[in-house]
Amino acid sequence: MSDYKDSATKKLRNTKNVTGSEAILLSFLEEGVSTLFGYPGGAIMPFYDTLHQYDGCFRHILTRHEQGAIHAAQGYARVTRKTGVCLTTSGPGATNILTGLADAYMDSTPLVCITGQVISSLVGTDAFQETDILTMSMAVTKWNTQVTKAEDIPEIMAKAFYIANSGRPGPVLIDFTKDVFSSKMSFDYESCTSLRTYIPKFQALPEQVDKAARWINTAARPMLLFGQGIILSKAEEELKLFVERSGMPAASTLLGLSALPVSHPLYMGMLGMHGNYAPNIMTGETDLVIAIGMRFDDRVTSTVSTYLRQARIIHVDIDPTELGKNMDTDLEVEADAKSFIHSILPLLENNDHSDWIAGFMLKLQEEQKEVFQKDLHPVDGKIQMGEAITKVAHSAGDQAIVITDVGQHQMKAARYFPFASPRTFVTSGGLGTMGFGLPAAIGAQLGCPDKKVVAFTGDGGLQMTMQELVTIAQEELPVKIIVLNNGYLGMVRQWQELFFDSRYASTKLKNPDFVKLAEACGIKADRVNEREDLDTKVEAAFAYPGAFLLEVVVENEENVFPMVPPGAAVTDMILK
Amino acid sequence: MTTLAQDRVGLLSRVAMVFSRRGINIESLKVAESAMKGIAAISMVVLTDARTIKQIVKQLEKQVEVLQAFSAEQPDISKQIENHIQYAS
Repeated sequence: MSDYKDSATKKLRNTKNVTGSEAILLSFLEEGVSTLFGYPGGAIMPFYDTLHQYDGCFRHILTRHEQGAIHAAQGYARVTRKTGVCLTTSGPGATNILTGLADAYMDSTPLVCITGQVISSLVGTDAFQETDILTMSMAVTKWNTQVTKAEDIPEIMAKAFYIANSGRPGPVLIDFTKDVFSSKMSFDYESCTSLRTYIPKFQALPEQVDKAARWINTAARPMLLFGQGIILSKAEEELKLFVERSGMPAASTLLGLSALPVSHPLYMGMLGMHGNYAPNIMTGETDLVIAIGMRFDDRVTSTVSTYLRQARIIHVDIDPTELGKNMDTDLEVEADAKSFIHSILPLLENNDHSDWIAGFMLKLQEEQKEVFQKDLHPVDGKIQMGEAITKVAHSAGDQAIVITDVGQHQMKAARYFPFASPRTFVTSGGLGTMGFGLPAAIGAQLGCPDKKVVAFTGDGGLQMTMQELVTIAQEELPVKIIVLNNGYLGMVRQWQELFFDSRYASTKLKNPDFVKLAEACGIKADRVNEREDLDTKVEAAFAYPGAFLLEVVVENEENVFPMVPPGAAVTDMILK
Repeated sequence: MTTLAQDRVGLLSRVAMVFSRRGINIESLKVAESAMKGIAAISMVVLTDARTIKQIVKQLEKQVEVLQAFSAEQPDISKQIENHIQYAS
């Protein structure tokens, strides 16, 4: 980073008379940004021209679609905890990032997205490639604004980065009219650290912490539910201390995965519709739940009126709108996860809940017998997704970063990958965006160049953003892409089988030859059909130094179990 | 309910969005400069239940431009008015 900054500073001796484009680049440097994801076009061309002159100061990744650019920026942000930056032009360039904005908004991902806009005098006239992106993006951004005067750039950029990555993080969009890029201004940057109308609350009230500690210390069957708030506040170490001190079993949401190692003795698995059996079933027996940095999403609670009826609930979240939104709870605590755990730790008594945990173990055994055995150690038939995932985990190692797309393979990867360190799982949770995986892997690999990055995707999701294979080749990123090909839109097909009398409406896919496709894009590839070849082919993919696409032809009509059927209570989860 | 927020282009859209997203119609609306410089006061009347209002106040305050939002409840008097009209006629 400092190299980038030094070379930029050399080029810019005088910051008193710079163009708007230069001011944006200087703002990036002030915020420590050197990796940009984007796609040029008419309205943003002056900015790209300046970027070209600053060759060597920034690494710009040219994706093959704007949606790819924003998902890549999301992948980058999720593995680094920094703000991802995405650049697109006006009109279609801007509308193409809406899905990514909505995804980042749901999953609390800090982004600053720059869009070009037609020149100020043409705004509102339906000019070529004009769209009202401010109104369009309002519902899916934490904040958005338009810049029509170059002198406003430093203040607005500082504000954008502050808003994006403070409190509950989220995406910010700044729309620049084209004339701003070439207008001259004097650059003077001051980081933003507070705003009059936006003050995230970090500390819990002491009386709330006291009450929570009292309840935890006296509970007979307490349970911790944690979400991405742990990762976003970097509270992984505190979380470990919390569960170890209180002795309480802990379960994660989909986005909380990797905050606590899967191997931790107090980690009971994943919550939700396709989560683990024990943590879901035991929500019907617990007497106290403390939920930290999660939002009681309907995929976790199922029918909310049936969830945790017998338990006292403490809900800790930095976003006050989440408190009481989906669940009425007994203690609402508006606080940052890290700060909350930090303040409650000294008040917790050392406790042992081994009798209560033994109940979880019994449920785990049931799941092992009914589900794991079939998923991970099948004796005949086609390859199962679960066995492919565990084989990949073996070759990639538990420190690898796992990216998924959306669907059956996503749930299987979430269930079976042995996450061992924080920020190693990136997936589209709240929005469930098919096509997220491949571009997100680009960002993740750029964010963590020294780590192995594995992208699991399905045959359906891959085809939504498969043009980004070319980006991976152009940028020479050693991403391993594992396509679990079942020839169906598998999750939809599963629902059709179970709830629509097996009427497979528009879910069967005629797929391209993924191996030839990858090779045409400049990526080495192979296919595995037979179980006996799985080990050697996965090992070969990981032994290869560059990007590799391995298509694993899996069972066509495999289902994801356990499952909470729609409309049922979580405690009615089924194993088959 | 009243919302105090930084006066800028698009503010009303952001505030209105919080209501429209929940399918709530704004019965009446007034936007005026508040006693604080640069801060507009938006007063609205909506018909909904107390739980929703609590959520809406929080959602309004979540908007970056909003300084403060608060609500005052008015019991539903439509029935009484109806009765009164019937009685009067």
